[in-house]
Amino acid sequence: MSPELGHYALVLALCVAVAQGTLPLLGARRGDPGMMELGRTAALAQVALIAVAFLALVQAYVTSDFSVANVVRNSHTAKPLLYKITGTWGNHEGSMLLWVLILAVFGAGVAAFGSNLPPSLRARVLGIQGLIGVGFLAFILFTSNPFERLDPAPLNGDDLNPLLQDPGLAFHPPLLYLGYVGFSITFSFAIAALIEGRVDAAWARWVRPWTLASWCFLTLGIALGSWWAYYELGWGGFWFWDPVENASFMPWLLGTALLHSAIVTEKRDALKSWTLLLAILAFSLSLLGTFLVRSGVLTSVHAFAQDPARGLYILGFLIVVVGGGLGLYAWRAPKLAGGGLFAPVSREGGLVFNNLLLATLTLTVFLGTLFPLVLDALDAGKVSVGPPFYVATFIPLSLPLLIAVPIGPFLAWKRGDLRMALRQLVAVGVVAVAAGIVTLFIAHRSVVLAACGIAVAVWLVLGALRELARRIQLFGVPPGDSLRRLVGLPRAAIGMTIAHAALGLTVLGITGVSVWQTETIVMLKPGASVAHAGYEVTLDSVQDVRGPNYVAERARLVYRRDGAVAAILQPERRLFAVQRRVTTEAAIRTSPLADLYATIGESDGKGSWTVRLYHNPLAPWIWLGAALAALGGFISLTDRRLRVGAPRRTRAAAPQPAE
Amino acid sequence: MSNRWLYVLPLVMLVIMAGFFAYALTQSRNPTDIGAPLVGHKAPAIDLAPLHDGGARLTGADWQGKVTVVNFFASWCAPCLAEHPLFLRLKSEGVRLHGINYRNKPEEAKAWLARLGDPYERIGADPEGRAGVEFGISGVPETFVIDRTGTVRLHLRRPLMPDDVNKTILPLVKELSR
Repeated sequence: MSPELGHYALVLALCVAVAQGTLPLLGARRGDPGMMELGRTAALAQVALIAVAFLALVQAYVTSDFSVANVVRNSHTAKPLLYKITGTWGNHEGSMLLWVLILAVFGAGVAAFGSNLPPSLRARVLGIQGLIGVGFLAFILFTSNPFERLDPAPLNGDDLNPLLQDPGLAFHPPLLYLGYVGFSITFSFAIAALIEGRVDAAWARWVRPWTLASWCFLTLGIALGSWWAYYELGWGGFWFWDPVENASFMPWLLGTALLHSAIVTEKRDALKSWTLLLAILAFSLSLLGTFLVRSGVLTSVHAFAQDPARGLYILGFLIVVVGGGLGLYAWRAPKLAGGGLFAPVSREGGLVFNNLLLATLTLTVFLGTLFPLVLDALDAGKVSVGPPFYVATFIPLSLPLLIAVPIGPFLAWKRGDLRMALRQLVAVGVVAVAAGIVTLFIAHRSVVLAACGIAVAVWLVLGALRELARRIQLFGVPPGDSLRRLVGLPRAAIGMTIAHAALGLTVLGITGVSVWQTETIVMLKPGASVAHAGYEVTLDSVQDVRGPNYVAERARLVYRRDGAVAAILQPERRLFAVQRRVTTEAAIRTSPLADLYATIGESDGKGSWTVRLYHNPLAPWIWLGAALAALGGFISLTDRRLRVGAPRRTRAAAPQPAE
Repeated sequence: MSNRWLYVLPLVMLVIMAGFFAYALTQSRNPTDIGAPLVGHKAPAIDLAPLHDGGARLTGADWQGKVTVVNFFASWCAPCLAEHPLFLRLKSEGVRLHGINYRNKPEEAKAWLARLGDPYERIGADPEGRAGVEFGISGVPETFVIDRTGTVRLHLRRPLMPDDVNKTILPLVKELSR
């Protein structure tokens, strides 16, 4: 019964979305308050309906209702409860349902908390959200119905892909979607602003928290995905420049740019049409990611349900949404009044520099991802674009960006003094260069890159702290006064400091793994030892263990340093009974300095096992840095300026005078 | 105003990109298929040291004059183990068969062949995978059929199945030998 209820609720949600996507827009045009108000009601009704549909699917999974085709394909009675629940979105149909649920939640967020928005802007934002909802709901209902029934129902299901039966990956998609879909709100705001023909500080103030929240979720989602790849795939790597990874990375890069350009629009009323373009493109790239994963146009390790019919639908949808957005942009954006002027060397100038480089980086990833497709379409041959391309382009482009990060906050708005800024950073620079020089002597390989990486990491962390010290006048005033200043600092400033320093930590981690990783692959018999990264590693034993829906071989590896036991790692090799698939469960011992990482491979049938050992110096900082950056974002979100005191629109539609 | 065109540029880029996507979707191409570009071209002129001590080198001259099957294999590759009996069969059918031992330790490969039987007339050792690059393989096992003039006629990017031998390779060898 409940699958039909869920299906019915979904159909109703589509009807409501159609109403939400038309009437408020019409009302805003006519100035009809009743029709505009309908947007809020519709948004709230939509979230309730989609929640019903989603819960119906969750229920089908939890109760293992094998009359539902989707449950059969992705679940099994022996699967642990957690993965029964997360299996709901571990497949194409269910993940689309999660996507529209989040879309509706965000729309309802605007409806519920947007009471300080001008009614016409709110109505238009909700209208655009409604139209996006129509596109996705129709996609689900017509091409990917998660509630399809099977008759007769099989006795048991096919189980979820074992690689997805993992806590890290269980929450990777929801976080990623929170980020992707969050950009739909900034997109809707951008379109609404283009329709209204005005972008001002108030508009930017409303857009920023949404951008920031999306960015934080996207950061966490990407970090979680990368962490999962690190410990689950057992290759010891954390980023593979796979098309689908890139698909999530591009909106992140552009979202980062948007985050910064929206500051300029808010504070200085400048860069308006650029900010609008970024808002449109950030969501466009999110849609592109959805398209790439589900259409099968590119080869990727992320094999989702790939179906050309679905691909064509998403492509059509992409063209309508992005084409409509960019068309509106081409038509209306040139008419937007320019804002405050600024000198090249100024806070604005720094943020423009940041935006230029981030946009270029996005373009680089974009080209690298789509180049094989374009070449193939032109019949110019088959290529794959791999890490060497990204290393050769990404590092030189991101280096100036990273160097500029600590300098920017020292520059004043409108006209900055670069010499003054640099003078305050001299000490930090000296320490960073010294760290780089020391690295030159202790690095084993890629010496120059290692030195740059370490120097930049130190520069970022200390530079962020130096800026904080300046704000609270550390050592300039008595410590008590500094502390008082610290407490009184706006949360946004604290958030920025944390995020910028966290970036340095991530750079530190990436450098550490790239330069100092050591890898040992050996065949070991139980009792035998191998020397690895200063440890003596003994394969103590290999035992058979049994899990809820798998059997495994569990190795016990004892790490000894100077005879004393330093760590015991127990990697597993699991065979999932239903899908007949083997997964490696790496064992990782994390410390702030390095990860000890071990996986066990196949036995040779004569009593030896392949054992892979990695020593990954500084690795944990990659993800700690990302998590810390997201934390910085969340702290910044709690800044009271984002909640109260948004500048009211006083001047009516009159264009803003240029300064 | 020329500046206006700047605002249209993103839309133009989208149109171009959408064109490529539409093409990719409608041409029912398989992105995982990397084709067999060597078919119809001369097999690369390699020169590999023998795997077996005292054996002969494997060179481009070894597939002149008679139809030849060349197989890339390695002892660490499970699908190679699965297809191995079929090569013993090809040998018993009188087909000239050369092996290229891909990225493998010689002693492990020799032990593997000693255990399973050695169907190859000559085996070139390719510890660095250079011959693999020359032949454009994407992994092991892969198998080539080369005609009397040294032109590649078939490239299988997967382990052999009994049907491949019965319905493809044996008839092809017969036809090319005529």
